[in-house]
Amino acid sequence: MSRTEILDRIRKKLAVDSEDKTRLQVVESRLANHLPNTIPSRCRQSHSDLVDLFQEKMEKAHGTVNRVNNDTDLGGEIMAYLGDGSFELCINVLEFELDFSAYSSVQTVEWTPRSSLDICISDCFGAVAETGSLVISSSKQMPLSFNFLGEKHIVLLKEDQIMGAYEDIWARTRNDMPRDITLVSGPSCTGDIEMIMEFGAHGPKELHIIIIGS
Amino acid sequence: MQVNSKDFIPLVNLALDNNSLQASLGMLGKGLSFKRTAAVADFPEFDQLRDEARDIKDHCLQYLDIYLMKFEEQVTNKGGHVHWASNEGEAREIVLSLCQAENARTITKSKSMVTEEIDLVPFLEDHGLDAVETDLGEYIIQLRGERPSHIIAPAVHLSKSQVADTFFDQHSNLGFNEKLTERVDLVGEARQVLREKFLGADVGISGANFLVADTGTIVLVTNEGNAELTTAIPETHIVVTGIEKIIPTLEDASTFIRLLARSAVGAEISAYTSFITGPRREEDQDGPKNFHVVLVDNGRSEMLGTELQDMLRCIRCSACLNHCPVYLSIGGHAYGSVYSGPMGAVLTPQFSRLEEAKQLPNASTFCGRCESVCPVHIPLPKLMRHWRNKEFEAGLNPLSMRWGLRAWALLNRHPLLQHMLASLGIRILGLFGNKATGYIIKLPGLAGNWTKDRDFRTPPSTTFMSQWKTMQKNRQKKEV
Repeated sequence: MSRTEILDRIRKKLAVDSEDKTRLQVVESRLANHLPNTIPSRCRQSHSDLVDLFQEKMEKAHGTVNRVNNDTDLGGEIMAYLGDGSFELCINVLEFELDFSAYSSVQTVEWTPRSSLDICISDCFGAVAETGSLVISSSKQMPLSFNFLGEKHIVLLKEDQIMGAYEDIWARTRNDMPRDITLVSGPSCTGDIEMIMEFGAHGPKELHIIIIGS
Repeated sequence: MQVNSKDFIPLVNLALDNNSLQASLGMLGKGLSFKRTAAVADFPEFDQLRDEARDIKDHCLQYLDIYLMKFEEQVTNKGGHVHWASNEGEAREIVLSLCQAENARTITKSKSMVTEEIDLVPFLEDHGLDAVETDLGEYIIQLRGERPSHIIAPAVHLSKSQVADTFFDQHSNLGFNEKLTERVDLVGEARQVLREKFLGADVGISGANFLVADTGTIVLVTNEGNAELTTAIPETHIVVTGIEKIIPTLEDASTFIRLLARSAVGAEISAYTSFITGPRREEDQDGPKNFHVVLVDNGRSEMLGTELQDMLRCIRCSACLNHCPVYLSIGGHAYGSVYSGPMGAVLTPQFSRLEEAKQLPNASTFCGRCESVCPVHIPLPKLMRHWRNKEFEAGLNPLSMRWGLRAWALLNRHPLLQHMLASLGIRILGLFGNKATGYIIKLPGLAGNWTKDRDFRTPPSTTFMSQWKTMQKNRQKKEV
């Protein structure tokens, strides 16, 4: 009932007719065309510059970035980042083989719904250079909350997964939007106490990205 | 909407005398305005995007009925449900009945100004539900029983030690018995307390920064990650949002994302921006089974086709608050409304009653900074003037002001009378002046309100107009 009431009130205030087919056509053609607006020039440069831009922006947002030439020792790279100590790793990686057999202090755990985690390691849908944002997408393999329930989050990203602009994501997802797409630009933070930034509000306190060259 | 803007003047006096609040406002004013300027300077396309954003919103408002129906169709196709609420009472009842239908007991909530506008959380609590705010600022003020004092930094009026006191009082029953002093520890304690709430919640309630008609997607922006934990874990996700949040496409959303964080806090983007489309898919391992969107009108549609329509472009970035000399002097609570600053001075009379909120549009120097920083070019001074006109038309001003305004108008229509009174006035004022300093430090009667707080320059002995005439005569003599 309120639906009709609200829609009628909108049409009355706009002085338009619900039977007016031309209005519907205007909207339908705008949606069908989904034209981009101005895309910042920084999004359109050579791919190697985009990789650099991604790193620069992610570091500015307090994420850390490490670049490696190949995927031969990703386990070692991850352990180099974590440093000494014993860790519980929860791994959700499809694209790469991770080998931690050389590290006796490392345990791996399975993801279960509604539970907190120590170190989360994942790959991701992609990344956008313009603001140094990872693109995480929920899927059969990837529960969204996996990315938020660890103390630290380590993400493996292939260089060729880095796109320029947000619009590049939609070109690949529009027709079959996953339940969730999240742009992650740095670790979780809050400025709610005296406007000073603290990390690890609710999500990961640290975000580390390993970019793997091609 | 709960409003106590009638008490504006006493609340302003309290705010001006509150040293701790003044310190917080000082940090806010310096910090955010400086950061925004730097972010804009680093983004050459900013002004072009602002124009585009204004045009996108104007287009959507012109076709609002159709876009809302397109959005509804898409949400429904994806297995979600759309509910329509004409006013705040209906919105609250819809949310309550959705919670009750799921036998929900615990609710996590991410930040949403619409839920503040409709007083949702107190209503759910009155009905026996445990509803907890998860944005840190909102959580702090919920514990203190306060309202937000800023639309994106709700606890900006509080100091670290006030937060520490609040946590010490309210968390001791949860086994936290240490009085904390460090910010990082306060954030850590809230993280622990709220993590348990996230993991156990039956329902998650969020707002929406944008609604994308083309795909039925809702867009949520946070720095903390609380929106994602609120929306991904519980079995039910309820979105409560205003009808004006609609935009056509994901491409349009991209434009607004580029403007929002830069305008709000001078960041290029917030830490997390989520695009949520429908409920959990069959193969997904988390996400809500039930996905509901409650579209709230509550006075918005009445603004269409009027001068106030421009206000419906607002994306709640808070740039107008952060740059307003009045807001930065008195803070949000003085406004007596959850919407404060220039945007609040325009929205509050619409969402409550003009009689209640008439002081707010008057609390502006019309310096124009709000309009100059608005990412969607809302003519905020013009809209405050709109309410001042309405106030005068409805006879709501005090008699002294009405006569004062009439007298002013009369003088401006009769220049000769104005000149006579002006030359009389400056002669009288001159009598109060101190010759040595050139200032008047005390005036009698009503004018004493001015000299109570500041000195008044002694006027010259003749008016500008008579000085002008003398100059013109002298020049003519010379030419002759």
